[in-house]
Amino acid sequence: MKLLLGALLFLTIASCGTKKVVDYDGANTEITSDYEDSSLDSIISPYTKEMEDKMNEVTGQASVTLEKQDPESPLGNFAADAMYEAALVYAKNSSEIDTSDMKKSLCLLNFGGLRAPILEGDITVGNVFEFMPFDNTLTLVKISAEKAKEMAYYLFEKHGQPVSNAKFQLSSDKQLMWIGGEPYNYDEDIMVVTSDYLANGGDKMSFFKDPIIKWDSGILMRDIYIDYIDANRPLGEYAVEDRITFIK
Amino acid sequence: MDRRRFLTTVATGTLGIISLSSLKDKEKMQKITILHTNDTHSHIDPFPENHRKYPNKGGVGRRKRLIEKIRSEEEQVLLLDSGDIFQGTPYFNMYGGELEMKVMSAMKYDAATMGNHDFDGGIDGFIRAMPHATFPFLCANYNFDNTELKNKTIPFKVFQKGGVKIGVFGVGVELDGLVPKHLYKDTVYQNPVEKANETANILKNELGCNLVVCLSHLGNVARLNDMSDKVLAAESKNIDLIIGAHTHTFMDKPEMHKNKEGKSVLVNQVGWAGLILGRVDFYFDRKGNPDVWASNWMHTTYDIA
Repeated sequence: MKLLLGALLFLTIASCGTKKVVDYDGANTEITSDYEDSSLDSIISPYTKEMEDKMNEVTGQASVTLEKQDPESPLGNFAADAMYEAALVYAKNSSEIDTSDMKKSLCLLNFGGLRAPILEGDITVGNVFEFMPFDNTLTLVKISAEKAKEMAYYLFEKHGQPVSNAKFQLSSDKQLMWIGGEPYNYDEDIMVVTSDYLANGGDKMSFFKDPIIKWDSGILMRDIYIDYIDANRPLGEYAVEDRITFIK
Repeated sequence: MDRRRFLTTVATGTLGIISLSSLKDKEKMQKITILHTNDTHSHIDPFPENHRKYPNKGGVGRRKRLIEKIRSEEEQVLLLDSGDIFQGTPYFNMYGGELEMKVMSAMKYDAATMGNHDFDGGIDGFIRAMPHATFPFLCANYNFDNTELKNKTIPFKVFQKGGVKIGVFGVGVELDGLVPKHLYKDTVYQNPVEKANETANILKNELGCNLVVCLSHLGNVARLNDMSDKVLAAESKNIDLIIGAHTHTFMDKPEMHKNKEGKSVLVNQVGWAGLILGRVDFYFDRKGNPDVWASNWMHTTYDIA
């Protein structure tokens, strides 16, 4: 009994300072111009100034305006070609990727990811940010012939997406495919160069699920485009050349 | 359950020991205000006027003003962030996150946890930005022992606010498949539920915290694996509030969940990009009268763990 009383006393003393939750309120508040404030401006403005200068930096020129349209368009061809070229360099320098892996390889992107046209004339870094605001990275995915078939059918259903180093003639029951100019008969694994977003199944690209192997380079696609535009002055026409057509 | 019903339940459930008026008299109670953000993603400036979804919304200057307004109204305020401070505007691409750290420090954040995008500049990049933060990074389920981040983060921190001791810790999402390995290097992801319960137990039972807050970057609903704030809430013990992130979930108000012991745990998350400031006020029994709450602790339907 003494022990119990002692324990009770102890508990009472211990719990005197012990605050217990009685109730709560929740109020999430939208941050609007009602709270206009300039006290951080002195910290932010030097960064903004330098950033704007960087954004206004000219990284190259376009000889014609590149716009997007399915199933194939200059903007898509430019986007896929630049990525495919960067992937070849990445694969060559990577100790994990065998050069033979790139023999049957192509690039596949999505029109949804290309957010602005490249306009004729000077191309600024800011323009490239508008074109590719996402921080997507160059990713290589090795998929089976079976998955390649699914990919071709996806291209039929989606009415095309940007591709490079490949050609497709598509119908609901027949999907003909060429890689690097040679017919591909869905009889061997292929390497697909794409973005990490798509490689993870984005834009319903379910054929990228459970790949044979996947390499995320960690290289931002935007940086690839900035470098590519810089190196290929001025950008050409990337004319439509029947990379994706539909057959009856 | 809304508050009215909860008060009724408590009042009838305790045979009138609690007077309803005293419970309603919040002015006598100790109040702790928890303000929070998540997934601010380098959004320093407000969205442009012509933005399709969020025209002229957000902005760190305005966030600071709102926080200062609340600080002037409330005695005890804690300001927290659940990660993905980095990535989303050229400010991050150009400066690696140092500006984000600077403005958060100017707003006097008390603590933050790391989101997957906070690894986007690599472990090295995060370390370069860290000196610009005056607040600690709380990571309870990432083991950084084999990385340069070793000893640069802490699993939890205890804040004494008035008469209330608040334990705050952080848990992060599985990095494999989400962040390139070369960025997170030899960071070891450990089961967040196990680590959360282990940490919450220390905070509550060993260090005597009156409130335990988890900064979670697991996501409100499961994406990559079966882990989420809903799962954590249901499997947890000793956690009162989970401040979520990762899924950019906009919640009007905190959501009530039941933990493993049938006790209440709140989950809140405020979208992304610093569009919204999250707020949860907790009221504590200022007199610490154990007759009222402690004795009914296990029996009321509302008993925050």
